[in-house]
Amino acid sequence: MDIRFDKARNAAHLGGEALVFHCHYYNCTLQAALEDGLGEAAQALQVRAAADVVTSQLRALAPDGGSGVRELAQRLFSTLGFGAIELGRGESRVVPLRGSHYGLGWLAIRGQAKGPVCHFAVGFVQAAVAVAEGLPLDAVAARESACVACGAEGCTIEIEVTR
Amino acid sequence: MIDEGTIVDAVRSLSLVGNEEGLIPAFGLYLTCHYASYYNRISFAYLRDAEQRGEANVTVARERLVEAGHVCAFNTFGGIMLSQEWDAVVAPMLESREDWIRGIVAVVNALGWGRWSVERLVAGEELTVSVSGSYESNGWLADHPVRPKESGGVCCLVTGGVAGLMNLLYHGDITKRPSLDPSYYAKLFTPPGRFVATEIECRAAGAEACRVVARRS
Repeated sequence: MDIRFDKARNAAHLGGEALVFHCHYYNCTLQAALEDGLGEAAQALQVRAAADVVTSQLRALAPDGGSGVRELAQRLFSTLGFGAIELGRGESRVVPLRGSHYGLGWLAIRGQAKGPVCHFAVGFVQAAVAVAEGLPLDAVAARESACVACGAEGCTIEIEVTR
Repeated sequence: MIDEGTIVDAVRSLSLVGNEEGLIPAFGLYLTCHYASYYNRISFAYLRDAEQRGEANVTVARERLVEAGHVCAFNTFGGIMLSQEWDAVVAPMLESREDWIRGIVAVVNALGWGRWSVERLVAGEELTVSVSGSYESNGWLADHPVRPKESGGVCCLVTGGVAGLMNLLYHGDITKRPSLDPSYYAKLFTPPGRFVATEIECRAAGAEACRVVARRS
């Protein structure tokens, strides 16, 4: 991953997206702030924001799409520190997420959650599948069916292609 | 004497990429190399929603977003200042307590947040930081029109971060290597005597740079 750092401007970019370092305390506190302030709308907001930004980046990094997008997305997800995903091929529509940054972070800081918390990861997976299969984002539905923050052994994201 | 270039080079040379589990453990934290656009999209959606629902909601939203900045400063800046990397690279340059501020600002200038500069530091009383190209103001200007000055700035992370720096140094005492636990956090960010920061100029509201001032409340 060729993350380009502009020392004079303190700015880092990859695939047209600015990248900034933040820790699990900030990430989970910001997520909790949104959920306190926006209620149920916060989840969809975070999923959509993640899907949009990752779609844009993957299309910049792999403009021709194709079979390499899944591997690229898996490597990107883990390189950036979000955990490890396995984007299955063919008919597989269940994506295991190991070492979820948000899930484990939430559990460590805030204790067991009432519902899944890996909204960024859900949006990321949705984008990866859409770009890999040459589909628009709204043709791919994604949801987290198990989350470590809720007591599951690992996180699972389920995908449904709707057209 | 703080050599910012050496500090930035040292931080950027660390292997801050995901390990075999896809995690980045560093400074007693788990880091992400995250998307500025993601933070901006979700934070500004919250702020704009509050602005449509009235001043009281704006106050609450800003408090929550700045609070996230306090948490960031306490854990990230605090964790860095207690780290082996700090001891190895920055500590040999420290000649005064004020150098701890200049040292951590140099570290911040390796995190991709835009260029921070200490504009004014009065020991134990006041800190003004200016930021050129803050990722928050970049994000606002990319997607929204320039804000009226009376609407205030958008750099809530910077605001919380600058207050957090002063609280770590002059309300608490990070130099004594405290445990960064919830009770210490409560002590540092609870009145009386804590530092509170205000963004007095913001690029999102037409300024050339963003400027944040922290003073005791």
